[in-house]
Amino acid sequence: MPFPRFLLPFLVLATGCAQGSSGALGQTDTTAACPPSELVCAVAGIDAPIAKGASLPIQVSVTTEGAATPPLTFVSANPAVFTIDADRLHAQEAGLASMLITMPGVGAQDAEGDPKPQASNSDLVVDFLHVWVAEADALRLHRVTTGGLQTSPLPAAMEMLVGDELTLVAAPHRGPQRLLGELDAAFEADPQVVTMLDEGVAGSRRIVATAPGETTVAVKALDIEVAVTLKVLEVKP
Amino acid sequence: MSPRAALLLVVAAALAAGCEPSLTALTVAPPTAVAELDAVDKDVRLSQGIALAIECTYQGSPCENANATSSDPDIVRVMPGYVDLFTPGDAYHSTASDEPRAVFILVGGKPGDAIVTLTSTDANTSIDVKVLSPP
Repeated sequence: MPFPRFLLPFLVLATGCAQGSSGALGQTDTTAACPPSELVCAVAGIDAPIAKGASLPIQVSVTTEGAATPPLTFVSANPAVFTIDADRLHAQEAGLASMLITMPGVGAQDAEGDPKPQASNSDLVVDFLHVWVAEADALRLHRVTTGGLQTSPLPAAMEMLVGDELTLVAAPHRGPQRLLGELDAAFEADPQVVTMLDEGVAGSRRIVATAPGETTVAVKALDIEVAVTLKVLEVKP
Repeated sequence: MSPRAALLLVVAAALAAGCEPSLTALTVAPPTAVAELDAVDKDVRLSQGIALAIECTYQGSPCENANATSSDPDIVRVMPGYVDLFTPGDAYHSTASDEPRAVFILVGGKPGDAIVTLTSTDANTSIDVKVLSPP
């Protein structure tokens, strides 16, 4: 049964103020960066390892008493495991490392008065979070509904009518866990049967059925391939 | 050694011991990793790439004007931490008028041994740090 969208606000209420993964010092909450409509994503936090080779945009809020969130910088404690570019973690190698959440300390500005791009020893650590990177052993396709939710993995074959649309996203998995991270995925299908639109969402395509026929949508990422067969039927009056 | 000299030595040792700040680990290691402080021997074992928060107190209050440096930042990096006085887990229930807490974050770099020197207006100490290979 699909998750009723109207229940999402209640999900947030049910989880209280605990949104995202709390830092080791209990002063921050970290989540994957999500559109405001994706409340499940917003409360889930970093609830799985990041797939090796994937990247994950994150957002962090500071929960200290009486202070809004200061300017923050994220620092990897082991760049061999993951690196950080602005607000995006890039998973490099399977392993475990801490992500430091820092704010500028005394002397953290350059000669022009701009913030230094890298944290220095004078920066203050507001919190930190231990982050796992794991190698994916499977790639599965999920359907993105109009509510932004992704259902369970697709079956091997599906039917569509001409004019139907389907948005797919490729997600890395390892054993029973769905891993986190956006993938640079390549999609292929018969353009005589479907049109695939890249709408700027990593690892995702909007597929429009254009003509009757059958095609296999093949997706490749992280050196893993997965496919779904689409049978497009003609609309009969 | 005369009894008087021995007594003086004992008194000097007791006084010296009283000048040592207390160290407390504020965080724990994630599964499979090591991040532990021996507060008596003042040594730390830390996995590569893992952070550990340590708090310095002196006679029950935060160490005043505390500063920490590493003998080898490639092995262990030390950064000051900001910890809210009201953060849950605050062991000594600070009030808003108290001194800021003296917290330092140790981050394991490459495996090896290094010394973190902690100085403050109250007292100084050093921490032997051993960084272990990643889990």
